[in-house]
Amino acid sequence: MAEASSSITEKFFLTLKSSDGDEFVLEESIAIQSITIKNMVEDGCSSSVIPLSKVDTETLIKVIEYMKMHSSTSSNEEEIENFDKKFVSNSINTILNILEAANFLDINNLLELCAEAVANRIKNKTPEAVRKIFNITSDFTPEEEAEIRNETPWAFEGNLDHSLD
Amino acid sequence: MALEKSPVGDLKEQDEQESSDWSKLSDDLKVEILCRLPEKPLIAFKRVAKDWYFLISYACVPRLSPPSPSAPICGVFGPSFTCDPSKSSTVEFSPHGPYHCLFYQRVVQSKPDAIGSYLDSLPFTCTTKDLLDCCNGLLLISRSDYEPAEYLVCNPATRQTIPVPVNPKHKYSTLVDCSLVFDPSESVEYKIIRFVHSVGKATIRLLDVFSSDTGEWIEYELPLEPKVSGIGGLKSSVYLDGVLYRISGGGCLISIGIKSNPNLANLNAWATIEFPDQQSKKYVGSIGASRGHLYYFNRNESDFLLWTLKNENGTKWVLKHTISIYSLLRNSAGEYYCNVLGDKVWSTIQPCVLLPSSDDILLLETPWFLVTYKFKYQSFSWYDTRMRGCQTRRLGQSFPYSRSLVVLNSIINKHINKHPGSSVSFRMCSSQKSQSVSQCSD
Repeated sequence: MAEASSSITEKFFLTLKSSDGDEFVLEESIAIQSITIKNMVEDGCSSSVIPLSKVDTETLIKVIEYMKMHSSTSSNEEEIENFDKKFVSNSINTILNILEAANFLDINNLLELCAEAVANRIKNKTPEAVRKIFNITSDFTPEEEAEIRNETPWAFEGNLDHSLD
Repeated sequence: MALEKSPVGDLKEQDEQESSDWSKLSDDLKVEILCRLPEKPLIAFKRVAKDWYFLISYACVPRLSPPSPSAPICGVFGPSFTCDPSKSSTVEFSPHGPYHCLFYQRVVQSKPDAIGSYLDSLPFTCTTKDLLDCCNGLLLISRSDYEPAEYLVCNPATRQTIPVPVNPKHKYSTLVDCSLVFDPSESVEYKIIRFVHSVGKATIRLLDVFSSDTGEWIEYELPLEPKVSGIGGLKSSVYLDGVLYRISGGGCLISIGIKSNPNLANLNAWATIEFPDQQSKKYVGSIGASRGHLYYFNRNESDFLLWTLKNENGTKWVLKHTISIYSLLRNSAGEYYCNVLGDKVWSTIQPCVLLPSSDDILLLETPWFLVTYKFKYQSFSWYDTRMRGCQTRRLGQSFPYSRSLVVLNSIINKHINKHPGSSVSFRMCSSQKSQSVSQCSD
């Protein structure tokens, strides 16, 4: 796609290394959507491999996919929208991992996308279903739970979704 | 343990690891997710586990409550006017209920009349004179017809009403000189500050303070100057950054440092502040807060004026906006209005409420119209308030309102507050992203 321009503008490449030790080569212009990486580039710390000790390979692949799609040069709005829709249909745990990575890499749009996606996934669920989805054990006594219900009974009215997906 | 009642769905998405990916998330990120939930599930999910309870109560709810700018809904409590937000250009006169919320902007998650109908559901008729104050989402209502007299602290957003019996020592004194102190960014507890008249005298020498965390009234001597006596009259008060401001009948503003002065013993925390225009007899100004600043607004013969209080090198008022009354009347609605009321028009318009919102709206009151002025766009909008032949009524004492989901007098708060692990500081208002890649390979 970009061959025509490559002769004019010189491209810089960065190497990102996941916590599993896998290396990924990425155009600098794409990678600096991450403010963390951008700061490193500006501080001159990016001449060799950038170790991302908190991001595993599976997550890093997703993050790179996202950054490529959202980099300003390629993709139109509709493509991006469709990509985002598909992106958030990943499993909830995958999204949580990406959310953590987005926070670490400081990619605000991705962080917002993931946080919104998780909230959307659970917003119609019962508290019981939420516990199952996130593998949480309640540490309330039955009396405490009853008190919380009594404080705001309106919050527990209506039809809620018990399913886990 | 307590899961036996939940229907067991298929567990295809469940990872086999014993600690979930949720538990690995930092509190900041959990808050980022939870704050994106609608109101109802946000409150319902307090029941998931204790850390959810604390994150939602002490981080998410304060972040989504006033005075935070992300507080979702903003409107005005004023007598008799309601505005259907779906028809943003009309204001409807509501024949039922003396107090209603006028919403000037589209309401996202709530029915437009939810607040008004909540007040209608109170066990007595709440009238103009009963609503004493509105502070960051809570209402203070007096119930003087009731024996013993009591205050009601009301949160329409969580549909809670907490009765607070008055201090029996002062049950014969008027209930109306009273302010509410509540700031979810400081604490989920509230205080009622009552200015107590000496029986048979106009002077006020005592302050009676109720704290929701102790459930008790405590009295304090008031070291105020004589001209402040008789605080009654306008009810306007503002609680901002730990300081309560209230307009006194003596034509000045009193400020009382509450947060810095928890036992109210420090006399230096009290101050009286003269108004920049000396509160002319003809026009009565009011106070309001927006984005962390205190404002005083009034009019003179030609302009609406808005000052802000600066605290550098002593307190002083700085004039921020001068809005020509002539410019307000120089459009089709204004001209129509001039024709109807003639020359009187000049003296009838009064700025009455400053709305803390993204573009700072000042509501102007006229006998037949309600006018909003947006500072950002320097534009006026007129709303006709004469509907269905109803008698014209003035907006009168009105209070800006934003929703707060703080649950009042939570028993749970009190007895599981000290739970180990709950001491995490949940005071962050925005997520901090200070992390950086630790190793920097060269």
